Amino acid sequence: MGELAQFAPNSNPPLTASLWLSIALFVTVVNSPLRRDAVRKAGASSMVTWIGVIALAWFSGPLLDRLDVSAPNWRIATAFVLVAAAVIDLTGKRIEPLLFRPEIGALAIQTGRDHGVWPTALAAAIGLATLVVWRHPSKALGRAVALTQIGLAVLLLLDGVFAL
Amino acid sequence: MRGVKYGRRVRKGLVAWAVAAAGVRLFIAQPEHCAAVTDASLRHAIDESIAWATRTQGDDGRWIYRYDTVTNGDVAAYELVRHAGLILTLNQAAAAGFDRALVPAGRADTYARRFLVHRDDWTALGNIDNPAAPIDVGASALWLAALSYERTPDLDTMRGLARFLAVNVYANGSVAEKWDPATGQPRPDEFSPFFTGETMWALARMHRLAPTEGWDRIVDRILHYVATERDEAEGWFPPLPDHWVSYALGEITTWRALDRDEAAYAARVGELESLQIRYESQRTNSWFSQLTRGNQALGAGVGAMTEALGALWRASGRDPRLRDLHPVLAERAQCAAAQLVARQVDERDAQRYVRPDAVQGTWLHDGKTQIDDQQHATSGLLAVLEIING
Repeated sequence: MGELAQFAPNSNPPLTASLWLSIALFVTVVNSPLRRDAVRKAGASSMVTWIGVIALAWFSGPLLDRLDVSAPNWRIATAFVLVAAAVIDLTGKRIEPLLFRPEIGALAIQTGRDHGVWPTALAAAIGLATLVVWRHPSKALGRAVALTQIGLAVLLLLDGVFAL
Repeated sequence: MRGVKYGRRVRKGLVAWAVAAAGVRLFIAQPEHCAAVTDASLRHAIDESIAWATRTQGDDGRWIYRYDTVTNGDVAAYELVRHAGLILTLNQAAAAGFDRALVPAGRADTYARRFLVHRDDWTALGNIDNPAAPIDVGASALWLAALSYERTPDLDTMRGLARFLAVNVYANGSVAEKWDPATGQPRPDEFSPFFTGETMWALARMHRLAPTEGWDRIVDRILHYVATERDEAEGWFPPLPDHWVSYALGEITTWRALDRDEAAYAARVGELESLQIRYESQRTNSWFSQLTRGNQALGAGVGAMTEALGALWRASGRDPRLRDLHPVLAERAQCAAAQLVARQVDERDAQRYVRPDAVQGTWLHDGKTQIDDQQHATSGLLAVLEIING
């Protein structure tokens, strides 16, 4: 914690997780270059995933209240899940071909709690739309996206650590 | 066949969700124990602490400095800085309507006056044992702040103390840790993590009571230094989440708005305090909690966090640049107070110790309690009492 304090923002207003960060993370979590083929073969539904994201965003407030977890601490938790998921993607050890995975769930709760349901629906829609837009499977590009996800997750982590 | 594959896929997915959820809950997002605090629970905790200060005070006005429940004795040398700190808390309590704090505060005040040093036009709180030793600036600052809460403040003594503090403030706004009787000057290049904020706050309190005497100009100088260069210039790392400066901000915002640097500094202190209390509130002292979150902090530590959040809440209610932070600061301060209320030794717990009277109403840590545990915790509770009563 002490080491992280050097990154404390000396700005006003303090950092709050931006919706842009959530949108970028939904894109990296879907990771179309790495996952599109597997998702298609498995018949995983983008629509079901999107509805799941909306449902989690909808209940994010009561859920976190029930769990006694503050919004900043959930940002930290989400960041850890995103890093773990990206590392799994990088090592190619992914076991479940589902689209509605834990990292999407964590991100849905974080975005829902910080920005509300409809911004979350929009961010998730943009992320899921990349499955339609990006049609070329590429492991190299998929790994680059996973690395980007780690970088963005670190930003989310710092945001949670140094939030009020 | 397709149905079997689908079933396997869902099973694997559920396993992934279960593993992720369990991992997150057990290691990352542990529950923050922020029970609701009420007017009654806060008042009870404050009353208990004042009763401890009354019970354990000696005839000379001193308290047991650091009580060890195992050796049943005082295990540290007495310090006037913390003596003044506890007078301050008791005077804050009396000012908030806890009249029973007046008696121990008065006795402690009489004891402090035995060590006054007068020189040139100033007055300082000197040393207990060695009058020739350098004088801690913080003791005079805290005592000045304490006197400012009295119902009829002793303005003459306060002015003398304020002049002593002013002697120890350099042109760039930094504050010396000690004044050296041997040289008749502040000791150069020695700074305290606490005395700078204490001095700023004490002078801010002085300005509130004597607004035409120019103390605010010194306060402004210190605040600019603290907000823009102190951590780097004095080598504080990680940056200081300074609760004394927070108190000063709570005063300064009664007479002017904060500039951009000052408001950014205030927000940053709030963020660091929030980080600490969000972490601290996850600690329960169970074996698993100790393994994954460490031991619970000292009462003084949690108390200081509470004081800072409470003081910043006060500042954010007045300053337009901080207004957005007002509700969250209230929430975090109440969470901090919940830790204090839950961890205070109550009458039943106290019976487990050799001297129940010495521990009831205190915040024990590793079987010990120091007077600043009660000082900071009680001041923090008083701040939150103000929050919940609007």
